[in-house]
Amino acid sequence: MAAFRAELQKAHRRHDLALCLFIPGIVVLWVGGLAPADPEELANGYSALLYSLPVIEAILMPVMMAVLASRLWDMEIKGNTAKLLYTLQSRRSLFAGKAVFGVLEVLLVTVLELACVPVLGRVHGYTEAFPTGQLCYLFVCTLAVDTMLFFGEFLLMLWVGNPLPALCVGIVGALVGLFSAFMPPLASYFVPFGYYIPLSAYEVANWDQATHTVTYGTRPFNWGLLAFTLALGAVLFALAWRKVQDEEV
Amino acid sequence: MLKRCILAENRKLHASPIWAMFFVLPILSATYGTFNYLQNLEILTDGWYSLWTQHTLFYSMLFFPAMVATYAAYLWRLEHLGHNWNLIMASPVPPLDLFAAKFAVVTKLALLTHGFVFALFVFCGKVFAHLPGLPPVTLPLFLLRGLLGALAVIAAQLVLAMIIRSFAVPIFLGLLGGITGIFISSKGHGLLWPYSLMQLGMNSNRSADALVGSYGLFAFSCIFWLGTMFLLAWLLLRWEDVRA
Repeated sequence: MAAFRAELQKAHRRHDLALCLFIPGIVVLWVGGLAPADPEELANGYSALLYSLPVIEAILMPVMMAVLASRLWDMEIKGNTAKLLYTLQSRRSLFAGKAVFGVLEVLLVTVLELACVPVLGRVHGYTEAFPTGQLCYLFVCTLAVDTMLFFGEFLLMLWVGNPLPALCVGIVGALVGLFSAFMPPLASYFVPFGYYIPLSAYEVANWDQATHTVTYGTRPFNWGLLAFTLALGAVLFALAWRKVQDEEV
Repeated sequence: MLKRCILAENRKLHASPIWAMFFVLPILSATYGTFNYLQNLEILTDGWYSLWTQHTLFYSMLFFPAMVATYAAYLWRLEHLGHNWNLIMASPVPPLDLFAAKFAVVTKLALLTHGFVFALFVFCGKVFAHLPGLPPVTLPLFLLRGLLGALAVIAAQLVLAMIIRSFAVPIFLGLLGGITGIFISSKGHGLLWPYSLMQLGMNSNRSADALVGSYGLFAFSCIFWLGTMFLLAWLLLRWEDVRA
């Protein structure tokens, strides 16, 4: 608890909350800017929104997670305080404080982002029934992938001790993740940065080329990939913890 | 003094991990662009122009601002570390020269990146897409226009990285800038926003020239944003002091 409180104090003037608010802001800008007016589009509104969100996440979240993870550890690098912390407090409490703080930030980003769905639905007047189950599934999937990427980037920060590689991996990951969405489905399973898209419960059911109308449909939840994502996140978490344990003073 | 500053900034890039990104991002963009072009040959029938849109679409809209932001943040990070800020504030160098030197170095990197993008474009067009002849002259012109537009993005990112002492936040803001640029361009106000200028210059999402009849306004907007960012940097650096 004391370690977590220390992280809160360190974050006092870091303005992480403002950073977390950027994501829902972009979602509103991105999806909200494409306000449907056609009755047919309004009847398909939530489906279109829940189809678009994973694509937006695949572009933004790898970079966002790299930003959050790098800021959490970069302050110890810049202040050269890691050695001090390793000797003043238990490594378990240091790592636990950072991990809990980071996961709470990820949770905040995810909650704020998905809170935009009902808000946008109400503002635009979607006539489609609210897909509670699909939204809950999307929330779990987004949180799982975000957390996995967060610990991956955090591990990279611990390994390299410089935010540049973590950010570069985040940017390249976003690009590869986005591209994997347009590759054959099997290819997307090899790109964890883009797992948002194969985990999505929505797909394009029909695209009318003449009228440029898209109809979305649902597909079965991808529990297998979700379980793999959670397992990968757990492995990255364990590796990061091992790295903190093994770090020489 | 400016020349010395540029030499110093160049030295900071020696053996920098930034070069990995310089090579990887354009290669990824070219790989995806070529793949997508070959998969959609029935729709993409404009030859070199169609391949150009596929190669540069995501690159110019999303990843170029983030890449330039990384270059800028990397150069300023060194000044934000330890007591380096006090050192540069106390050194007998006009503050604007520091900014201009960083601008020159990031511009050089952006120019090299653009050259690399074009080389990959020609290579993929000939080897994988088997397109006839050489690319039309207008395509390197689009690239040069894109570079002119990119100058405003470079200056804006350097200002952000100078003000914000975090390495990561300006990069994220660069990505956001690219996204806002897409929306502002789609509403037809691209010439008013620095992050849209590069996208308009590259002409990466349409076969018709996006700047027909508005070259003068485009050039004015590029110069205006560039001048504004330099002025802002000058004022901020004059106002900034050592941190005792």
